Amino acid sequence: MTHLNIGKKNLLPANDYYLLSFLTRIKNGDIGAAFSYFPPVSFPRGFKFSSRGLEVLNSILKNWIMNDVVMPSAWQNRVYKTSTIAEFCRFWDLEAEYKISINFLMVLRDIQQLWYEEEYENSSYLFDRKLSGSEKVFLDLMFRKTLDTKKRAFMSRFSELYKSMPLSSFNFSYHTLSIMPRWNELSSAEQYYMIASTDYYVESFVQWESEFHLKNYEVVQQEIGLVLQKLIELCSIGIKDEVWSLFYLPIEIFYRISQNGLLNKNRYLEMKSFESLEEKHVYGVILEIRSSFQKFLNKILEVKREMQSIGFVEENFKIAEKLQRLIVKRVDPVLEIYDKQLEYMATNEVRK
Amino acid sequence: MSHTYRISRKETIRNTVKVNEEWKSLIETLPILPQVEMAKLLSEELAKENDWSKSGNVHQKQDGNWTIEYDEESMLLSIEYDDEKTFEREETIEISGYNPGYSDEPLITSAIERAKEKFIQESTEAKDYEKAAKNKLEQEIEPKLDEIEGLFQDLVEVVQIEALKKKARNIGEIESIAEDKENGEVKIIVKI
Repeated sequence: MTHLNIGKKNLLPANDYYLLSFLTRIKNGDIGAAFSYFPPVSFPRGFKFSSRGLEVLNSILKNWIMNDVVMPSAWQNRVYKTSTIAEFCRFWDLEAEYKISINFLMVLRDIQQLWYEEEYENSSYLFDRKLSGSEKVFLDLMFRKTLDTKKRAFMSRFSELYKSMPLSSFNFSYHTLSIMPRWNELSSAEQYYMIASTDYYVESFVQWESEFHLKNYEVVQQEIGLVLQKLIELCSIGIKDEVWSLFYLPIEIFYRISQNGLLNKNRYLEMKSFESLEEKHVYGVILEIRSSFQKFLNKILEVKREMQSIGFVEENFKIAEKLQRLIVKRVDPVLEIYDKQLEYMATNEVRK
Repeated sequence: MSHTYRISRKETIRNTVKVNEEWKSLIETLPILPQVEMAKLLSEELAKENDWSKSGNVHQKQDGNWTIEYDEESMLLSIEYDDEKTFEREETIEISGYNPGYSDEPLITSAIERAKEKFIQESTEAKDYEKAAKNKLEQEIEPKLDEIEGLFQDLVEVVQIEALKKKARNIGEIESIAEDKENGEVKIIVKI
C-alpha cells in the first residue's frame, strides 16, 4: 500500500507535467524537444498550476541556480555545506528562498507564444516584466545553454528578440547594479563567498562578450556601459571600505578586455547592425563605447595607486602585497596596449 | 441577424515634427600629465566659464535648441540640436461596424491611423515649421560648432600651459615663465 501512495504522490496534473518537462529539457539546451512538451494548450487559464507542481518547479529552479551559478562560483565551496551556500548569494541579488512568481510564468508563456508564432496575448513587451534577480538568471541560463547547443534552432525563432534583448549573459551586469545590500552589511561568510566567486563571473564575462556580434549595437553599447559601471562601482567600494579583495574581479576583467579584442574598433564596426548607420553616428557610438573603457581604465589606475600607497609597515600590507603582485602581472603588461587601442578608437580611421 | 451601424468618436490627432542632429567629439590634449590629471585640469577651467553647469561628472550648457555636454572623465564632448513641436487637431472618426459581439477597436485604430496620415499630408503649418527648423539649423550649425571648437581649443591651450607649469614644479624650482600667446610658446626656466 505504501508504495502505491508514493506512486500517487508523484503524479502531477497534465499542465504541471508539461511545464516541468519543458524546463528540464531546456536546461540541457534541447530547445526543440523542450517545446514539443510545451504546446500552447499546456498553459492553464489564469496560470493555475497545482501547489505541488509549483513546489517541484521551485526546487528544479533552485537546484539549477545552485549547480550552474552558485557552486561553480565558489571555488572554495568545500568549506561550506551546500545548503548554506545559498544564503551567501545576497550580494548577487539571488534569493536564497526562491519562489516562482506569476511574472516568470508569464515570460514562459511569452516565449511559448513566440515559438509557436501565436499572436501575443499579453500586450506588454516580453522581458519588460518585473523579474527577480534569480528569475533573470534562469532566463539567462536558458538562453545561454541553448545558444551553446542549438544555436540555429534558437536563432530561427528568437533572433529578432535576442538581438535587441537587454538580457546579458554576464549575470551581474545590470540587475544588481545598485549592489544592495551594501558590502559592510554582509556577514563575513557572505563577503568571503563574494570574493571566492571571481572565476565564475570572469567566465560569464567572456561568454557575454563573445555574443556581441549577434546583438544590436544599441544593446552592446548600453551593456558595455552598465558592466563597466558595475566594475567601477566594485572598485569604489573596495577603495572606500578597504575591501581590497574586491579588486580581483575588475583586475582580471581589465586584463581580459585587452586580450579579447574588446578595444578593437573594427570588431564593433563589423557588427551587422552598424551597416544601416550613417558614418557620423558610427563614430559617435564608438566614442561612447570608448568613453566607458576610458573610465574603467581611470578606475583601475586609481586602484593601482591605492595599492602602491600601502607601505610594509601598515597592518594590511600582506593583502596589498598580493594585489600589487597581481597588478604587476595583469595590469602593467597591458596598460600600454589598452591605451593605444583607446587612442585608435578615437580616430576616424577604419581598417577594411 | 446582424445590422450595420455607425460609430463616431472625437479624437485628437497629433503630428510631431522633430529636427534632431547630434555630434560627438573627443577632446584631446598633449599627454604632458597623465590623462586623468589633464582631464581634471580641463574640467576646472571649464567650470570657470559662464553658462556652464555641472551635474556629477558632466558639464552642461543649454543654448536655445542646443545642448552641449562634456564628460570630464572620458573627455567626451556631445553636442545636440533638438527642435520639436507637436501640432494637433480635433477630428471626428466615423466607422461602420457590422459584427456585433466583436470589438470595433481594430477598425477605430486603423481609422485613426488614416486620419493621422491625412493630417500629416495636409498640414502645411507642420511642413512649414519643419522647413523653417531645418533652415535655422543649417544657419546655426557652422557658427555654433566653430564657437564650441574655439572655446575648447582655448581651454586646451590653457590646460596644457597649466600642465607644463605643474610638471616643471615637480622637477624643481621655477625661475621664470615667459608666455608668447601669439606663437603659442611657453618658456619655463627651472632650477634643479
